[in-house]
Amino acid sequence: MSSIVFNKLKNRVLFVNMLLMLCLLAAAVGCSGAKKDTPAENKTVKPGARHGNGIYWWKTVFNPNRNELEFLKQHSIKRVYVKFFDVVPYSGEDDYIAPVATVRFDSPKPDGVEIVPVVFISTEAVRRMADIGGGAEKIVKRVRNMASYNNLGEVKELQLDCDYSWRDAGAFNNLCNEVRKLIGDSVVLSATIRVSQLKNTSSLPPVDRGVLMLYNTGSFKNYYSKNSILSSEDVELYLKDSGEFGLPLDLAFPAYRWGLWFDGLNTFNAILHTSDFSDTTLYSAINGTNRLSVNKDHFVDGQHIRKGDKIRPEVSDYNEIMKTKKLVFNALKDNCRDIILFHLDSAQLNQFNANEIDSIYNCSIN
Amino acid sequence: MKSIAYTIAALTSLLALVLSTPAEACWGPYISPREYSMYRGRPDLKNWSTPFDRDHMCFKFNYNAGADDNCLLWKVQTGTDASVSEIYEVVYKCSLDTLRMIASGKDPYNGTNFFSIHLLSDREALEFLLLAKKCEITRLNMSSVWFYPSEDDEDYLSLKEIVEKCKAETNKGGLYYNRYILQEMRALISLQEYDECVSEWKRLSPAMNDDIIRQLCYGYVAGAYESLADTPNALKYYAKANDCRNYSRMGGNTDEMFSEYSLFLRDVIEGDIYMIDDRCWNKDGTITLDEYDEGLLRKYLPVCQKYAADKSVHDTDFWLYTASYISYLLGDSSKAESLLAKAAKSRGSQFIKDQIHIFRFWMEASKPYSQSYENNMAQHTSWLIGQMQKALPESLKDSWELNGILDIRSMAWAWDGEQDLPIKEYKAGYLNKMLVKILQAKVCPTLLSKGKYSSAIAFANLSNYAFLNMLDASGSVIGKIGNLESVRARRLSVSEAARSKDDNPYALLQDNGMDFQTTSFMIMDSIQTSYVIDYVRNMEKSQSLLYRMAREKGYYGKDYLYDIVGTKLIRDLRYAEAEKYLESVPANYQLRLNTNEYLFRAPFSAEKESNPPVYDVKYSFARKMASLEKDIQKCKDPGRKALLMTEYATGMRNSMGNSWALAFYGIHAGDDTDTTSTLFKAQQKAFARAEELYSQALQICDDDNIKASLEFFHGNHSYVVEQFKGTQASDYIESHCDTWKDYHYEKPSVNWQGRYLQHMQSFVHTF
Repeated sequence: MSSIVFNKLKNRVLFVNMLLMLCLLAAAVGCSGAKKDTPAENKTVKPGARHGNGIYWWKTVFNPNRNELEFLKQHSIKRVYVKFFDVVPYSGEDDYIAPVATVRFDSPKPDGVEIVPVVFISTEAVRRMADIGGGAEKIVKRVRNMASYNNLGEVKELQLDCDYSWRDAGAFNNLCNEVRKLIGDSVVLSATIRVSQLKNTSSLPPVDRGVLMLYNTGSFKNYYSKNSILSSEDVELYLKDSGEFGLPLDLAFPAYRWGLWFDGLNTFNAILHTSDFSDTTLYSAINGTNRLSVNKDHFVDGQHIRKGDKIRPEVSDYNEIMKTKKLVFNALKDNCRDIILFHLDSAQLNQFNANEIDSIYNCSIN
Repeated sequence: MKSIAYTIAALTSLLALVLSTPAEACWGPYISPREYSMYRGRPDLKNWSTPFDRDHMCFKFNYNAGADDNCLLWKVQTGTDASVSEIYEVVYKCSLDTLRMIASGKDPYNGTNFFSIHLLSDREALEFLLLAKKCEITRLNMSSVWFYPSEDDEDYLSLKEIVEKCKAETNKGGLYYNRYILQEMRALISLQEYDECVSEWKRLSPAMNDDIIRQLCYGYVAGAYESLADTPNALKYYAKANDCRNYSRMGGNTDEMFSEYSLFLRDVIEGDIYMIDDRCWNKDGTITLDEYDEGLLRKYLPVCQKYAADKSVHDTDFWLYTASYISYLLGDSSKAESLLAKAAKSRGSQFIKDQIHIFRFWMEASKPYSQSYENNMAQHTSWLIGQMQKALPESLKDSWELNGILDIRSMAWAWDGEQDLPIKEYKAGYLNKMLVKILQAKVCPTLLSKGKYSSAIAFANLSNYAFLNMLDASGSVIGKIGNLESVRARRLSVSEAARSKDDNPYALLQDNGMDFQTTSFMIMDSIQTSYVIDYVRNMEKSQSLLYRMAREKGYYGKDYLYDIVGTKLIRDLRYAEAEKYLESVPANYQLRLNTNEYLFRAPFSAEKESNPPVYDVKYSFARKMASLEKDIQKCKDPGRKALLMTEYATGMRNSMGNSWALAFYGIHAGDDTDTTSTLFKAQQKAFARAEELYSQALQICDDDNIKASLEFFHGNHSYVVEQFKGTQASDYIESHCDTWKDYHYEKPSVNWQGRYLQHMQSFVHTF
C-alpha cells in the first residue's frame, strides 16, 4: 500500500511536477536574448538597427560540434546566447538562492562570435531576491568570473530570462535595476519577454532591449492543442491590443521539436525529446488529428510509455514561423531587428534547409 | 486468520513505507527516522558544524577535531579567566562583525562573556582573531555555491593578502606564531598554492611549539603533499594528523597509528564515528558501510578497546561505549551488548551513562517480541521523555530562537530540531530524535507484527507529539519560517503552526499535517476500525504506564479520536455506529480537519454539487444514512421504498466518490490503479452494495416517474430523456442540458460503477 498523499499534497505534487516541467521546459526551451555586434561604447541600440543573427546555446556543456560551428559561419551568426546558469531558491546555510545547471565550457569561444551570457531566474528566486536582496551582485559577479575564467572576452551584453507573472514584475524590474547599476552603462542589459507579457506593457522590464520569445506559445499540456511550439493565432491574440512597447524588441524563433506524451485519459505526462515516432509497430496515427496512439508498452527517454497513451509530435513549422514573423513585424511597425533562433543543436536544426534558415534570419518579411 | 495475517503483513509494510517514503517526498523529512544517527561522545555540539550538503539537500555534520584543546590553549596564551565555553563562543561562533565590535571597544556580550571582555584589552589576540575569521569567511565564500574561480575575484585577492600578513607576523615570531602559520596553510590550500604551502611549512615549522595548532597544521600539509603527488610525505603527515581515512586511502598501514593517547585522538575517532554513523543508516533501518568506513571502524575498534583497558585513561566509559557502538555497526550485536554492559559499570560521566541507556533502549527494542517487551519499552520511553524534559531549557520560553530550529519537512513525521538548535539546547532535539527513531523504527513495527495495534498507536503517538507538547508547554513560539526575513513575524505556538492550513504563511505542512500526517494517524487510518476502537478505549481507561504516558505526554483528543473512528465506520458502511461516535464530536471540530474544504460536496446528489458551508457534515451524513436504513426497513410502499433505497445507495456511492471526505482523510496516491488500496477496496464494496440497492429499487418500482428518478440518480440522463419522456426527471434534465454534458451522447449505462470509477479517476487527476 502506498503512503497516504493527501489531496492538497497531491495537488502540490502535481503542481510541483508542473513547475518542474515548466522549469525543464524553460531549461530546454528557455528564453531569448538579443544584441549587438557593435563596440561597447555604442551601447544604445535603436529599435530599427540590425546587428546580426543570434542563436541560443541552452545545453549545460558548451561544445558545439563541427556542424554547429559550420552553421554559425554559414548563417553569419554573430552572437551566441549561452545560458550560464539558472538561479533557483535554495535553503543553504548561508544562501537563499543558488546557481544550478552551470554551463561548462569544453570548447573555446568560436572565432568571430560574441558570447552573450544568459541567466535564467526562477520566479521564486526573483521573489526571494526582492525580499532579501543581494541577488544581483551574486549574479553579476559570477557571470564576470565565468567569462573571465573561460576566456570569453569582454561581456558586452547580459541577458536575464525570467518567466515572471504580472505579480512578480515589480520584483524582476527591481532586479534589472540592480543589475543595471552593477554592470554600468557600457554593457547592454537585455531580458526575455513572453508574448503574454506584451499585454501589460507598463510592466515591461527596465532594460535596453527585450527579446520576444516566439515559441512555446501554446499550452503543451492541452491534449487538443494543435502545436504548442508556435501558433501564429496565439501570438496574434497578444499583439492585437499591445500598442507601443517602449522597448526595442528582438525576436526569437523556435528551431526544436519534441513529442508530448499524454496518458489514456488525455492527461499530460511529459515532454519527450525524442522526435522520431515513425515506428508503426509502436505508434498509429489517430485519424483527423496530429496525434499518435501508442500500440504497445515501451520506453522513450527513460519513460514508460504504455499502450493506449497518446503522443503529439510537434515541430517548429517553417511556414508558421514565417507567418508569425510577418505578423510581428507588422505589429512592431518596422522590419529590421535581430533574429535569434532557439537553439543551436544540429540534430534539431536539420528540420530546416539552409534557405529556410536564411529566410527566418532575413529581416525582410517578404 | 488469513485476513489478520494479511493485515499484519500489510501494516508492517505500511509502516516501512511510512518511515521511509517521506524522505523522498517533497514535503517529507530529508532523513527518515530509521536513518538518524545515534552515536554521541560529548554533551554538546561544540566540535560540530553543519554545512549544507548540496548532494543530499540536507544539513550534514562536520567535526572540528581539536576545538577543546584549542580553547584550552587560548586560555593559557591569553591568561584569561574565561571558561572554555566562553572562549569557544568567541573563537568558533561569533561573526566577523561581532569581532569588529570588540575591536571598536564595544562588548557584544554585554559583560556575560569573560573572553570577550579580555579581548577588549588584548589587541594582539584580537588582531589575530580578526585575521583568522576573515580567512575563514573568505574560504567559506570560496566554497559557496556562487563561487566561480577567477583571478579577478576579490576573495582570491583577499586570501593573498592574508598570506602576506601571516608571513609578516611569522617573521616577527611572537605568541601566536603557530596560529599565523595555520592560517597561512589554510589560505595557501584554498589558493591551491601547494608548493608554497610545503615550502612555508619547511621554513617555519622547525620553530613551532608542539601544540594543538601544530597538530591542526598536519592535515593541511598532508593535503598539500598529496596534491603534489608526494605520497611518502602525505602519508607521514596524515599519520601525524591521526587521519586514518586519508592515510588508508593512500595505501598506508594504519596499525602503527594512534599509539599515543590525547584529547585530539579522542576527538578524531569520535568525529569519524559520528560521521560514519550519520551516513551508514539506510532507509529500511539496515546499516551499509562502505569499504573505507568499515576499514576505519575495524582500525578503531582495537584502539578503543586498548584505551578502555588502560588504567591511566580517565574516560573508560567513553572508550567502552564507543567500542560497543563500533561492534554494533560492524554487525556484532552480542559483542556490542557485552561491551555496553561493561561500559555501564565503568567510571565516567553522566552524559556517557545516558548514551549507554539510549543505546541499550535501541538494542532491546530490536529484540524479538516477548511478554515483557511492551512494558520494558514503556519504561525506557518514560525515561527518555523525562530526559527530554530535563534537557529542554527554560530559555526557550517565549524565545524567537525557535525560528531557525524547525525542520519543516520533518515536523509531522519526526520532530528533529537537533541540528539547528543553539549549542546549549541541542540535547532535547537529539533525545527526541532518538525517541522517534527507536519507537518508529523498532517498537511500532515489532508490536504491529504481533497484532498489538493499540500499543503500537500509543507508542507512535508519543513519538509524534511528546516533544512538540513540551515545546508548547514551554511557551515556545515560531514567528517565521527558515531564514526568510520577508515573512512577517507573528507569535504562533509550534503546534499551532503544525496544525495550520497551508494558506497560512506559518503553516509547516499542508492542512493540519500534525494531526493527519503523523505515524500514529497513518496506523489508525489503515487498520481495522475495531483496533482503533480498542485504542480509544485504552486511552480512555487504561492505567498502564504506556497509556498514562500517551494521555499525559502524547496527543489525547477525544474529538480527534472519535472523528477518526466515526469516519472509518462510514468507510465500513456502519452508519448507526458512526453516528454514535460522531455525535460526540463538536460541530466546529470540522474546521480543524484537513479535509474540511471537501466536506461541502453534496453526498446525496446525483451529480457533483456542493452544499453551502455547514458544520457537522459527517455526523449529519451518518445520522441520515442510519435513519434511511431504518426507514427502508419500515417502508411498505414500493415507490417510496425505491426512492429511499436510491437515496441511501447514492449516499453510499458518493461517500466513496465525490464526497470522499466523509469516509477518508485523503486519497491515496496511485489508488486509481492500485486495486489493493484501502480506497479502492472500500469503493468496490460500497459501489457493489449501492448497485445492488439500485437494482432492487428498480425491480420493486413500477411507477415511470420514480423509475426515471432512479435512472437520473444513476446519471443516465440520455436514457431518462429517451425512455421516460414527460416525467419530472426528464423535464428537469432537458431544462438543464448544459449542466450535464453527457446528455447528448450518453447511452444507458449498464455498468455505471465502472463509469463512475472512471469519473473518479478523472476527478482525482484534475485537482
